[in-house]
Amino acid sequence: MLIRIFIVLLLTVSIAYADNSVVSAQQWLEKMQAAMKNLNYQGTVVFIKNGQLDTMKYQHSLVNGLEQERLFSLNSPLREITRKSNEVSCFFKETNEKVINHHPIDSSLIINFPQAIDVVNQNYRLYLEGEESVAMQIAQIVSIKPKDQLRYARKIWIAQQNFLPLKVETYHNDGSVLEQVVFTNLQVENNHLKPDNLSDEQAVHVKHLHITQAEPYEKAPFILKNWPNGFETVFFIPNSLQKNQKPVDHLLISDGFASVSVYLEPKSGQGINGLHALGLVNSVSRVIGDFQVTVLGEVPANTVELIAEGIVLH
Amino acid sequence: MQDKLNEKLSLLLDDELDSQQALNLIGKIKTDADLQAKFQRYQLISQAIKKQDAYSLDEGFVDRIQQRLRGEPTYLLPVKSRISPRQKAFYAIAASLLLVVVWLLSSHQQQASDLYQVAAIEQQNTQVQIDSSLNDYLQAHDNSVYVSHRNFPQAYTRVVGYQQE
Repeated sequence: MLIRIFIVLLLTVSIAYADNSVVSAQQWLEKMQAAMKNLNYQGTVVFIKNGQLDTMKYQHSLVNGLEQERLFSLNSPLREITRKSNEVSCFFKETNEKVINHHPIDSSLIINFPQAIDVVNQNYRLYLEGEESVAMQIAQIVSIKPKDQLRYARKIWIAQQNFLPLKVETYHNDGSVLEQVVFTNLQVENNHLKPDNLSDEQAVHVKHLHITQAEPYEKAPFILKNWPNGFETVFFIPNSLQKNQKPVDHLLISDGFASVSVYLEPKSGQGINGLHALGLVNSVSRVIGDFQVTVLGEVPANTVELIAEGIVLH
Repeated sequence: MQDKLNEKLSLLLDDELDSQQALNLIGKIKTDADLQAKFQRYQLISQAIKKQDAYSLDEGFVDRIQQRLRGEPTYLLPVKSRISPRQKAFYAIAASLLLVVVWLLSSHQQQASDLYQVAAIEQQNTQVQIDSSLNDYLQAHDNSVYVSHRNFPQAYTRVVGYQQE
């Protein structure tokens, strides 16, 4: 009898501990999300993507309730990326070119993150994985592991002092590191930061993306028969961008961490078929009738292939 | 006949010949000087094989062997050619065909090389088309594309093109 009571007690304690662990990881992410949005901070950040290393100065401010982010490259090609809420512009110093992306959603330049953390639990398991020092700050490691093979695993090193992300790693399904974002220094400032930007001069050439208004997904000229679990429509924009005077329709779906774009445009020439990989991003192109379809996103190749195979035109 | 006799000699030395035949053979050896010499040679060989001893030979041994070889008659028998005229004709045709095949192959390789170059150029053009499309798509997809400088040289070539249009 005593043994049974002991086993029941042990199970209760372990379940409670497991729940607490999940909640704690989720709480770390919630606190990080709040800190990223509400604090003023700046530092130096290194992006390691596609075997390429980019070091940039970073600033984040909250001005009149609106988030502003700035990234300045320290090495050529010199460029400044600015985000004011959902409008992102990239200014190329050497050629005075500017691309302005009127992206319909707010998305951090450091890390893609879901608006509601609790939905993450549907597709990912959250774990706490000890502590490490990053940029001379003690960080809690939060591991985000997908429940299926349709998305990548991630780890975030969150500063214990201010809950800002100090390091983010994204992993291939085989466990190898695909991308890293690491702060080499990061300070929180009391006041919002005065922009120290490159774009004092007027850009000569300006290009705009996503000018037209988003429409409901139901108005898209195609449907996705293979809709991956946990992905939701973010927006559908008809004539989202002009390529060679041809309009391109753009559908964006996301599970919070990973997003996938579906592009539809009139076919040029023979069209393009096949799979292409660029680090974290995989894309697959296929010709359907007179249209060229491209599915692209920071998900494994099998996910973009699955979506592309299930596209049917109305 | 000679072989049979040699075999019997060998069997006698190995003590494997039946008594009647052995007696007959010994009788022959007694009367035949050549057979005696052969018997002695076989005996020596047999002893050498069995004991594995090295026997020292007298100085004139090699000379005597050479002299015997010189005494052997030279046979100048005509060697019949194995290749018939018909076969010769066949080989000539085969060689000609081989030359034609070699010429055709080298010509085809040149054509293949040309085709490969054309294919490579087409592939390059397709790659440029893909890269250009992907750059557009990457920029529209996510802000993170601006962070990696690898995409930019093409991105801004395209931006200039856009403005010129």
